[in-house]
Amino acid sequence: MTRVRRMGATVVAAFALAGVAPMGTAAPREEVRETFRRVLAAPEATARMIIERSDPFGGSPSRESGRLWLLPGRGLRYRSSEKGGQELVIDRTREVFLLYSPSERMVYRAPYARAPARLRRLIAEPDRFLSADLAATAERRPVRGGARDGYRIRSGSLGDSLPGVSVWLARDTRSGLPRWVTISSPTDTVWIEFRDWSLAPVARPADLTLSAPPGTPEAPLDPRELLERGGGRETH
Amino acid sequence: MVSGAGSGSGAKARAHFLAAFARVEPASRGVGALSLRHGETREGTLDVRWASDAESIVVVGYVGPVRALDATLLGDSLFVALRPMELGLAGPVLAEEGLGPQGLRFLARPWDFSPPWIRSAVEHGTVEPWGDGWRVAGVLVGESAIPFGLELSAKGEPSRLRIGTPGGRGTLVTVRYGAPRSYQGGSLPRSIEWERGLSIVRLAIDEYARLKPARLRHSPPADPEWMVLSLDDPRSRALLRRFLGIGAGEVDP
Repeated sequence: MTRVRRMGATVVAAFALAGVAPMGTAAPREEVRETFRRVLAAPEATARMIIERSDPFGGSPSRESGRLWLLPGRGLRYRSSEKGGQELVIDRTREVFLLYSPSERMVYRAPYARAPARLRRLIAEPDRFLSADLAATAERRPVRGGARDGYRIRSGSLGDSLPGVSVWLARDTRSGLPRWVTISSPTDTVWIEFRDWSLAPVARPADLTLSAPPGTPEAPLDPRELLERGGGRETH
Repeated sequence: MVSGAGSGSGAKARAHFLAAFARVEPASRGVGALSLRHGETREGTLDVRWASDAESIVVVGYVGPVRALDATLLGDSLFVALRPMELGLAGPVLAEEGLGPQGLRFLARPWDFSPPWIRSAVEHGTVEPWGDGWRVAGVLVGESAIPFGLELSAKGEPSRLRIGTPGGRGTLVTVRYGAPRSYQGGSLPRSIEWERGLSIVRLAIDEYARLKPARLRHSPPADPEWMVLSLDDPRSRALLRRFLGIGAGEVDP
């Protein structure tokens, strides 16, 4: 069952959804475009992320924090700050998709092509995100006890694979950079808060390096390979 | 039937157990952490949230805030979605296989001894002194007769349940119960361990509360692009056996 831990990849899928932000009628379109243009046009952007997820059965939400490194055109890395939390790297140049699970002391490896399509598009074609038509409409929402102005994105524009998903985002009023993204489905809602954005003038590819100790065992990331191989673990 | 020394106290302990743990569980929800060990290897932890009402059990597992696992058991129908893997397993749990769907449901919430076939087996089992407490031994009668031994504390709280194989040789699964704890939704063991062979799955229960029926949501459907395997597909069975730590040639639980 814990094999599901391998693909913590979707932690950053939220960022990909945020990245599809722009467009709609004039003012919202321009605001949303500008919010993400600065991040996606930078050689490297880093931020802290705080991610909350609702309980589908009515309990209190879960919460995780981590750090994001985004090198548009090259790749991204997300590292959870939680004890035993996972770390993910998608590197287009090295053509790898890696997931490090400290609790399992294992690095899971797959080709770049196996990374989630939205994340690959965010990395490889940031311009496409900035020109997408998602019909942004202004909407004020309560977030962490306060009402915030933001934009709701037309859910149908996110693709057939996410039916019924609604995305809302808001920028930081001081920096103008992305601050809040919420992704809501009929069963639960994820709130993502971006803090402490840093836009670097030069990309550091070394930031796309996993923190796994040298010699950490590796296994294939794709469970379908396990199925084909009879479910055995393979290290190499 | 109660036998052995101190049988009067044994009957009392069983009566207490039945009163506390064999009442029909109302709709409930919970929060906990599920961890798996296989031999000396710790294979990680999954945060889980679950909801249960009568024949329905829904479990959602998270890696951090990421919804990674959905599992729904409704009647004899089981659906398991491993979301990041874009993989689903679906189909009926066959009655003649292992403990069947009702047994699987009991193993999924092994603190609820209210199903008639379970309660009756405990009521009719033999009680004997066991350590500082008692042991109820008997036979679970479902699709087949399955021996069991339920160890109780002196107060009648469950500490260990061993379920044998239908043939009576060996152990299908052993369930260990942590000390009872008072939750918002009532008293429940603070942890549950399922042991099978070298594999131990442990659930640490953080929250247990009543569920508003409207909040019982079944798993969202699989994405059309997913690989969905039938439960009787050999690959599906191989994956489940691997997750459950079952070796080749062993009986499925």
